[in-house]
Amino acid sequence: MVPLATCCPGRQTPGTEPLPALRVVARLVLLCSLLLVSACTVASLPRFPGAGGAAGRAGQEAVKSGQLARAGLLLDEAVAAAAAGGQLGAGRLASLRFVARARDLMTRERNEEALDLLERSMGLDGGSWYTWLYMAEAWRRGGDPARGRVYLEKLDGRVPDDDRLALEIELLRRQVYLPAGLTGEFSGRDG
Amino acid sequence: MIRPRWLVSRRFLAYALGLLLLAGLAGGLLAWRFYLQTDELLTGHFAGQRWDFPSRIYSDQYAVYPGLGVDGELFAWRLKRRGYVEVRDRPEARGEYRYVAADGELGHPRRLELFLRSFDFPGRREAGRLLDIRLDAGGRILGMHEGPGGEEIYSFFLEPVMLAGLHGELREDRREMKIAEVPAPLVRAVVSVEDRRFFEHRGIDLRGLARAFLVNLRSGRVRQGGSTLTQQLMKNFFLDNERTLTRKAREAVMAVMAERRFSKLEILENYLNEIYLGQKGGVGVHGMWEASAWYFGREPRELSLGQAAMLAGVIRAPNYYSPHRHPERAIERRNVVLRVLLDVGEIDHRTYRRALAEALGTVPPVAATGSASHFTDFVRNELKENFPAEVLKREGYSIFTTLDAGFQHAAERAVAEELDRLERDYPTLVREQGDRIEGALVALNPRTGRILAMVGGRDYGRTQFNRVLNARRQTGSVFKPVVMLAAVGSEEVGRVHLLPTSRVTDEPFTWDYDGKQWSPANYSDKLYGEVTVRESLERSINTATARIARDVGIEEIRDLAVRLGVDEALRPWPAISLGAYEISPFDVARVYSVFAGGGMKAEPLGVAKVVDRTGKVIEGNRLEFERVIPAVDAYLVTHLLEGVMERGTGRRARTAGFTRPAAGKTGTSNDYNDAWFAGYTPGLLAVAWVGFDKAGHVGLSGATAALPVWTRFMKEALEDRPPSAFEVPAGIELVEVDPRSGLLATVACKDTITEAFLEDDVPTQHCGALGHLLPRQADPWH
Repeated sequence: MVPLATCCPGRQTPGTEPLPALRVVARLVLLCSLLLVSACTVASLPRFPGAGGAAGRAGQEAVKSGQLARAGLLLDEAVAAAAAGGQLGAGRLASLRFVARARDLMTRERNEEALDLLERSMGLDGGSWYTWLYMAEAWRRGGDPARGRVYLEKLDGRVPDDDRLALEIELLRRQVYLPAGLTGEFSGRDG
Repeated sequence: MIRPRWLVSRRFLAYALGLLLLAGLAGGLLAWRFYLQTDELLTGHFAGQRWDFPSRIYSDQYAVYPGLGVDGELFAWRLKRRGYVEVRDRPEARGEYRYVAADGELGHPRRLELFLRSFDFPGRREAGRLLDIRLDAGGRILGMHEGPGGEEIYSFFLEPVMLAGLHGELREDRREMKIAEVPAPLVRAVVSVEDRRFFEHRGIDLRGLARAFLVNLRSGRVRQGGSTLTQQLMKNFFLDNERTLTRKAREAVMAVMAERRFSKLEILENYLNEIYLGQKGGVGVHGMWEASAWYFGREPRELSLGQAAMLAGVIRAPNYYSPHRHPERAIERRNVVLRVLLDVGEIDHRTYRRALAEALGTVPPVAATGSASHFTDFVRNELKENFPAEVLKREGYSIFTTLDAGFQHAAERAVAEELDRLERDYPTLVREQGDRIEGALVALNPRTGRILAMVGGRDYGRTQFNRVLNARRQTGSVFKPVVMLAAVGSEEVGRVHLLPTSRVTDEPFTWDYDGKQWSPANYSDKLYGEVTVRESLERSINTATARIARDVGIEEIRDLAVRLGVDEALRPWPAISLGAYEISPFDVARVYSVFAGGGMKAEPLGVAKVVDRTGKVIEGNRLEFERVIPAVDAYLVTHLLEGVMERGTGRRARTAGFTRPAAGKTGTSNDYNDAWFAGYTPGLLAVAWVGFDKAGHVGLSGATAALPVWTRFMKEALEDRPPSAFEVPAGIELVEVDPRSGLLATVACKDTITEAFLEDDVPTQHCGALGHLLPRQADPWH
């Protein structure tokens, strides 16, 4: 065992010790720095997997250029990030996976099965905008965009200040609902 | 004149011959008519629908995914209810599972090996597969693979549970099976023991009859019938069990005619679907498919040779040889069948010995009836417009509902056992006239509106009245969140905008309206002085709530309640602010689902899909939503109701061990006639009611009588689910405040509380030493 005197020589030489008040201040500064760093780290985490950083910017660009499929890629990133980082609760992760499967089914024109899974997804996580987005899309594909509109409303009210989400909604609105002859205004309770 | 004798004889002969000819002609005509009628009967019967197929009501399938607990009591029940059997060795057949204590290689403490059953889900077939599920120390799923080392999967579904069969008068359970689907060992076993020369004879087997005659003669009693499969089928289809020569003759003629009309395979298919093979309660088990599922929990194609032999053996006397009731007799009979198979050369010695060594392999009989009866009544009622009862009894539809069988089990237990406990703890609740204290509970997923559990009373056998839907009772304070919504919500829901921290007095007062007067009183006649809006709800203070209602406007509150789902008949009387209006537990659940569902009103959904016998979806119901209040307003109410659970009248749930994030409200009607609790977590909403059917004095508050029912249900139902917190919508800010002043908390505040505000309402002043130097809120209402 290493003796205390060897490992901590400062403690053995009281004459070289700084003033007690200075020591307290130094420790406070250190503590504050640590707290500041932690707070910054937490604040810099994305609000939702895939929402921040390069993925978020790429998502915005994709949405701007009119590629709804880009939302699917973001979904994959979200699922992967959530699974790897353990950031999400079990219900939310399972919900995202149901959405991912539903998206695959939709591409194979198995819309009814996709709707089944999306409904399950909603049951597990009421706050997943991915679910709402694909629910709206599934109803559009099913030839009944009016029924999907309520999900766009949910999207609209859920995270109105999320740039990427707002763009996704805008995209769906422009590409899907306006051609279908429906109004593009989704705020309010007129659904 | 005397005629010669010979002439008389000739004339007599002519008459006799004529008569004989006439008789022959008549006989021939009758025979021809019989032939035509029988032929028509046969062709009509074979071509038409031969049987009534009962429709079946199923629960929802159960989604399993990582993070879910799978070693608790409820999950064990879920497996048992589906007929899964725990085995010691690695599961080798569908419907088997085992827990593996440790796995050093994988480094996880436990594993569950589960061999899924096959099931025809709507639009998808689960073939049944072995799953390897890794668990953490708490029994929650870490990961899942198909078989050891197989592909990783992220979810699977346990098949739905059958809740009820909708039978006709005959009360027969049967699922039709095409001959191509019948496994060869089963065909061989049935033919070998019941009609060895089936593929050779033409309907009747003279050799077989002779053999049976000799056997019976030797033994001095009837040991063999000598009837062919075709004869048995004719008897079952068209004749009775009378032991007369006429019946036997008709049976034989019909058998010969059937063989001329139809192929051997058609006859065999009908036989295997028709045959009676046992009894489940009051319902007959008919056909090999049904018997296979009933006795072995398997489809026929999954049967082992021993099981096929057992089913073939059971035909002779289904109840005497029942594998459930008399397993030793069933094994003896199986062995006889196996011996016959060996003797006729259908199997070799090795196969014979292996089949003899097979275990019985039966699954415990699970009664399909007796649970969820109020719910299945509700389903029948929902369906009756599109599917009359007669159609349901005949067409064999599969009706897939939203019910969670596990939640239903937990709900039934909670209602029954907590009411029993109440009667023990409060003997005055036991009445001599037999008017028992009753209860009801309904649970739904507020995100989707799917009904998850419904208990309409404590004993369906005693009374079928569904209190969830049909008992209209005063709600008491359960209604108060509607008042609070109008008070603290944004301008979308109310013109008077209070904060949860706004202060109001609970001094008694009189409310004048329409020339009348109403004076609300507190539950315990206790006065609290000045309280916050939050405190008035958490402590359920009547006078303070009524004051708020008066300031908000009773018309506005009434309109808001209707918007949330209360029926239009609600009159804007001041007393409705304290719940003096009769609505059902189901309606209460609808109203609360708006708070829990972030402002969306989801139409309650009980029937998800109706599927016909071919697997085609003939009715599909999807979720229906409507936004009725903004998400921020719904959250403000939820946040207030969370306080009820933490500090208010709902805190007994916490002391009873229910610790998840939850929101809820107690309710006690006038004169203590009704006790309520309505509450929710983010994914599960339940409303419990306790009272007497005839207006009667329960004498207990909602917190004492209904909250324990709710708490018990929620604890058991959610034991497998990871907890989750309520989502805070954009537009809401949670800040620490001083509960007395409503100002921002500082270190100088004695107590603090986390309060939810709309973004524009967040207080800017601080409490405490510095706060005293700053002006306090001039207007406590704003």
